[in-house]
Amino acid sequence: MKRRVFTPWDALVVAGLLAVNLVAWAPGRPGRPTGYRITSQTGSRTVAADTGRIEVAGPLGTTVIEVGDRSARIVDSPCPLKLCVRTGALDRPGRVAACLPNRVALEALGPGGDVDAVGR
Amino acid sequence: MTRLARWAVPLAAVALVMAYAYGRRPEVEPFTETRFLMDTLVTVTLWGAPEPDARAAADRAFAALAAVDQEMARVEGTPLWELNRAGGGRVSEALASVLADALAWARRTGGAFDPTVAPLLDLWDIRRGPHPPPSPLAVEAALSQVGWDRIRLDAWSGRTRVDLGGIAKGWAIDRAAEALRTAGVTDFIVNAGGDLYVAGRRGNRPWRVGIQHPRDQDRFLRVVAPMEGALVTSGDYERFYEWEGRRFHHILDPRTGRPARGCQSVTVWAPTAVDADALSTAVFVLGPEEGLRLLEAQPGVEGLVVAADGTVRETPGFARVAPEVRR
Repeated sequence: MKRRVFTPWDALVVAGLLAVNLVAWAPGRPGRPTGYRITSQTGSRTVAADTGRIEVAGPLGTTVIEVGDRSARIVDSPCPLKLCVRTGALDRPGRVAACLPNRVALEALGPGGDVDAVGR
Repeated sequence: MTRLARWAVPLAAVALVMAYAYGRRPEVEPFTETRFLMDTLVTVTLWGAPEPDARAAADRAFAALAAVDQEMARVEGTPLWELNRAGGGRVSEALASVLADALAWARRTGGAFDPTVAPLLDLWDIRRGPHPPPSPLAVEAALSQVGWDRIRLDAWSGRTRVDLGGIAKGWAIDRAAEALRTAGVTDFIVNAGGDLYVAGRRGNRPWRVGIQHPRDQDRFLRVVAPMEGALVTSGDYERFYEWEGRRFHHILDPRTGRPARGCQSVTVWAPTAVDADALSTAVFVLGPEEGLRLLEAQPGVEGLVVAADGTVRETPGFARVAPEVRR
């Protein structure tokens, strides 16, 4: 009887090795923020994705930030122009929303950002 | 078939997957520090230096930026504020240098860049938020106080006030870049509110810069890998409000006293940020046709203009100094 080159067990071992390698090395969900940096007059701090509602004090009052699983945004700020609120959701690393009058900035962190800086 | 030969193909497959996955592994992140300075958000990004050295170098860069801010911001207590209040006086070497640059660019741009627009900026007060635009009479009255040719570096003639917002940030960025080089850093980005100085590389690839689309916050107009130098953008979307369907923004035309209407955004590449800063404002004021002619007349300077109707035009060499990156 001719001996089989590959047995089902061989295939299982190879599939297992492939899976282990992918899990070990692949950058899980590339391009999605893994956390957010909030900068204010008192300094910077990092918060994890899905932190929820955060209130940050500034010279004009309170800036409200919503940090979800996939994105974060400034939802309210006591500034006249509301440009920070208009910036919308930050869903890629490197994106920034800032309330300059109230001195609060929100920056999406994580690997796989498509740019190192934004010219604006 | 030997046992080794039997496993050769599957092992090669595993090796290939490992090589692919290794190539996609999470990148080492650069050192980044962000602070509020010069009425904007400033980020210094460094590559390659170990953390204590990177932090020390970034501190030097921020100190250079803060020094310019403390001297040239138009807020109570600064030497520039005092100069405006007194209508003249002795100035430091740094302030004299920026004033000289500002006057040189005012002359070269036929007044499209004008450091004496302060009375107009105060009148329009864009930062206050939505409010009726000033009356034509009020604009005329403010315009009568504007004129770069009233300033002499050895004297101050006539009633005007100086605002260096269109040039001091660029000058400060150059000083920060200088401080980083002095600290031995060669690969960095200084980003002051979206005005950039880019030097060196990010490891084995060039730095990638997204140029903001002026009408879509979620899009880049272009992603580029700029040559070493400054990339400064002026846009009507940075500080503006809307009143009765019209957009009123902060880039004022010193000739009309009203927000310039020819462009949505202008991006200028130049060897120094001080020049790129002044030119991006001047080109915005002049509009696409005249603005591009001005850029083409400047040696070693390139630019990209988004006209008021959304059409994109650029100088012939822009793609050379800021080649587009495929995404």
